[in-house]
Amino acid sequence: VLVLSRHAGQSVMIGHDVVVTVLEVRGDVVRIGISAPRDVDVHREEVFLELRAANVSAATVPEGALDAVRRLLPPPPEGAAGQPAPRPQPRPDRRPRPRG
Amino acid sequence: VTDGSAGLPVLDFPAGLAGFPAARHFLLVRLAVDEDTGIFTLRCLEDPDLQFVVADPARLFPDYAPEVDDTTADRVGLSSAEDALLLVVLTLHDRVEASTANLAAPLVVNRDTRTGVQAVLTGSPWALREPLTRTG
Repeated sequence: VLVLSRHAGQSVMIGHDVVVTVLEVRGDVVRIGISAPRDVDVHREEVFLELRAANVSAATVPEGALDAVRRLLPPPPEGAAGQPAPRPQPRPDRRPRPRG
Repeated sequence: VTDGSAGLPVLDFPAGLAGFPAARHFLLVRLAVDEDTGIFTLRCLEDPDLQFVVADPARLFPDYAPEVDDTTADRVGLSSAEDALLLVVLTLHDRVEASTANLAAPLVVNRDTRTGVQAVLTGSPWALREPLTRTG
């Protein structure tokens, strides 16, 4: 593990285009800003581990499970055929995550 | 996005999916050709053995209304929510009662560019493993 000391406001470069900036140190909490290309996911580690576990279990599809899930479906709502999925509602990002 | 027999849509997830960094392009295939079930398989082009089952959440979870932050929308070039296709990843078990949907990290896809990302809804009330059957 590479260990570096940084002051608030200082950054570390990872590769050519990932910038990690120490924004604030208060007690035992460090706020960091991460600027990364859009094809790089940035997650808290524990969130990533949970998500990975969920995806790995989702990737195993038992035989017959697809038919079972079809039987479970409620009938399509009236006139909903061909309707697009519901819209995610954009909102202001609450966490600073500057991107370069 | 899902219509047309001429060619099935290929969705591109440039960042991959957590746990599958090399899996990037997926064929979106309707579960039932003759019927709009709102359920699809995502078949990975890089790894033929890899597939996910995904669903239009509107049918299974009518109350589901995730908020996607601007950073995520920006990553897939979404300027308006109307351009988004939302899918949730299902984890299926032999017993349907044990099957779940990942509502905490939906797939958000730009309908025009077919570029998507698995968006983690941090701090949201939606569950990572929401049972498909609540009433049985």
